[in-house]
Amino acid sequence: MHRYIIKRLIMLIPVLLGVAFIIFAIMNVAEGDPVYQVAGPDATEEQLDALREEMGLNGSLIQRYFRYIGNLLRGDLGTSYISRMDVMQLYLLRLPNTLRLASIAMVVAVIISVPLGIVAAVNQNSWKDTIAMVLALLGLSMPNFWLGLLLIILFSLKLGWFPSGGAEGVVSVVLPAVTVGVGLAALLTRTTRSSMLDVLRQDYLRTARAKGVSENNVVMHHALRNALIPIITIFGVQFSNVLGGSVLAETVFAWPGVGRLVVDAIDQRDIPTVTGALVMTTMLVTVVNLLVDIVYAYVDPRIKAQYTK
Amino acid sequence: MKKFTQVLSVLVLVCVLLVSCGGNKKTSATVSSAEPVKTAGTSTEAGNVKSAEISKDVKYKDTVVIGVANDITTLDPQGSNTDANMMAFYLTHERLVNVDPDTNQVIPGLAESWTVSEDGCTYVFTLPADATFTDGSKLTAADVKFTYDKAKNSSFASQKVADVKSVRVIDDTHVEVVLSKANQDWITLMAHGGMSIMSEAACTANPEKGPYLGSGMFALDEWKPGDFVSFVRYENYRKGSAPTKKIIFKLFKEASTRLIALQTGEIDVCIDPSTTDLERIKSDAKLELVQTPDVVLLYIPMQMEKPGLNNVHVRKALAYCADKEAMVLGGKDGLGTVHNNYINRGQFGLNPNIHVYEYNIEKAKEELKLSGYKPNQLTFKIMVDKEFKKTMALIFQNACAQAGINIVLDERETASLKGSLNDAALDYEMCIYQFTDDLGTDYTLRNQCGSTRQADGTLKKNGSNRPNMKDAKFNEMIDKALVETDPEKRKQMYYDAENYLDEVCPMIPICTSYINIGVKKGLAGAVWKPDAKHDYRFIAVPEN
Repeated sequence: MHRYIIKRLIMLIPVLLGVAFIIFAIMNVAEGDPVYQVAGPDATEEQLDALREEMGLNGSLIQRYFRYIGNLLRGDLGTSYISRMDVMQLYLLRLPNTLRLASIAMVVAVIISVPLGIVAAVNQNSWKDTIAMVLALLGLSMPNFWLGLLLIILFSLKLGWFPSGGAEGVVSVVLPAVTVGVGLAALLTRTTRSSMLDVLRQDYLRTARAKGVSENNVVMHHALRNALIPIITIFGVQFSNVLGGSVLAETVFAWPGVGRLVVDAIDQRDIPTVTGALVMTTMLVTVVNLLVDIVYAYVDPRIKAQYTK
Repeated sequence: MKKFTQVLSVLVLVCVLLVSCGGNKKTSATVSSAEPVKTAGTSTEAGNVKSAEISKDVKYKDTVVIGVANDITTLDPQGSNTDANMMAFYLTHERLVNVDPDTNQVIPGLAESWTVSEDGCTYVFTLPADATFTDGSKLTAADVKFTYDKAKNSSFASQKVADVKSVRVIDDTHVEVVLSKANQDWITLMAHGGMSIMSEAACTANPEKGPYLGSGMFALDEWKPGDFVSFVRYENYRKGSAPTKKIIFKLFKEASTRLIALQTGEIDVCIDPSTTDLERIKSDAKLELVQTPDVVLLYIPMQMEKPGLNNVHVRKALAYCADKEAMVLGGKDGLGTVHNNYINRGQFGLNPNIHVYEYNIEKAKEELKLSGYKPNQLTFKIMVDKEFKKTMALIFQNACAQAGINIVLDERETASLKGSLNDAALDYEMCIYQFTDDLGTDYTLRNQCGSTRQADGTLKKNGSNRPNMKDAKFNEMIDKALVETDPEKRKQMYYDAENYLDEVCPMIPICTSYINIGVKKGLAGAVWKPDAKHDYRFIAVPEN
């Protein structure tokens, strides 16, 4: 198992190098010289040249890429063109907010989706199933910025229970987490339902029932555990997506997360911030994927046996 | 039962959608002329709006929260020119001079007074003996010299001190600034946020954060980029401390959320609410709407070195195709004022009798004929980066098509559009762009249409000269106006310069719009400026 984890961590290196190159190339082929974006309107040719040197814009794309990778290995993601702040510092300032939002949104999603999916599967083709699927469809179809605005109008403006924006205090995360969580819950509900339906048809469950095991026990212990693999997969994918930033929800709720950092940086063509934040997010997503693989092993002993071979 | 539940589910879904899509009856406000609008506060001759005076009978809050749409990106006065940053510099720093919000005249700022030599080239400023930075350290003439010398190397401030030949410290409270030539607008430039006086000691000790220290009424408290920045009152400010202890600029990118935050009381000021939400502010008893014409001029620059656009008749034909009224109505919901001048409203020397390229397709066709080009022979790309600009461009495109000129819309992200405009290659033809100018007529004309002679004798366009106009005659006209001491003669010179621009037709001015701000009722002490660089030093918001 340990060897497997180490192997996966080593595989992270080429992934990061590749991602960094793709992002770096895309950002650098966009029109215009970034130095004009940074320099003020009064900049002289000498100042532009000095700035170009300072910003590391001299040399070919490949030279600049390797220079960037060299700095990356030292933990230096560069300096923001706009705020002139260290990109790592900017990223780390936003990361706790993103982790907080992502974690709570996932908890919201799981709390909604797993019970709903199980109820839908156990009562297939009944009114309970229909309602669960309509709710899932609603969650999937509603744009989360729209849901966010509805929640703000109801819970901030009308009832005054939660702040409309910002990341101060414990309660500030509730509305954005519900907004993001509801969207995520929709897919998880459908996945839970279909996965449970597959498992519920298996012979071993019929055997369990024949042996007198209660229906609750059959569903919760025998069926759910075996249905978890696809659910965990979707959970991992969704968690990774939220880590990359829920840009719309972050914008609507004035939530200072990584997603908005990246979007604002793209808008200002702040190449070091975009590249740095995306590289860090890639790293985080890869680690989450690894954790998901490890969880597979604990859920399904057959997979653990494969890892330990 | 199964069918019933399915029908019921669908009905619930439809109801939810209908309820949430429903809204107010009609929320857009339309103002289609430059006439004064009803605003909270008093409009001044200079175009600013002053909130109510602070009353001794009212209890004010300790903290005022301002909901802003744009993040503050730096607290170094020589590190940026954006409106969002300027508002912070006005709190934390002082300039030698200020601009009077009532009259637009230059008045003392940090400097108590100043003298000017007869030739207009030497200024001596007198500083207060008790001036201190917000860390308590003394501010002296040496700090002024340090700031002005530093500005020479700043790409955001160097043009403002381009005419400064030398700065000499006479003593702690006197500093002499010598200009290489008389410059009637120079003193106005010194009121710009970029010329905020910084502490030499702080900047030397910490070049990154040292510039944040100023001698203003507030000091930086906490800054979380992308979230908020807060400033605390400097209790020992020599002219008396500010009425509010703490001012917070909180970033709300989304306009609807920003307004809701104002309605719920999370913020006290909502900058730039959506125009569709203005009626909500007007109808809310707890809120007031500040509305005043802005000085952000929307215009279409025509890159004068591009084939076709290098022909003055083609440029004039395009100018006649601009249905500005329709563009304001379509793009700005009527919330704008048609503009025909090349300098901004309210600036010295604005020519009231300028020739107007009124919307006239027949004249456009005549000009196209004079150009030698045939109908539909020319196709130009126009870059746009916002939805309202796209609407304006579509109206323009339609008119140009009638005149026989093809216009292709080139939709961009803002960063991409700016990238193309700022790139040395100047690989663009037209765009819809804007400029805000509060730095005097010379700065506007020089920056927008002027050029500078290079060592090899060629002309190079100045910073924001989007039409890429390189015209020695025009440069000479504004050079002469800059040194003219007789105000009437100088005014006439600017009239002539505008008339000349009208002949050359490097750009098509379209309109200015409106500044909209939602505030808590009873808010006092703020000065709302048409250039959006609002002054919050004396802001106070009543409790409850």
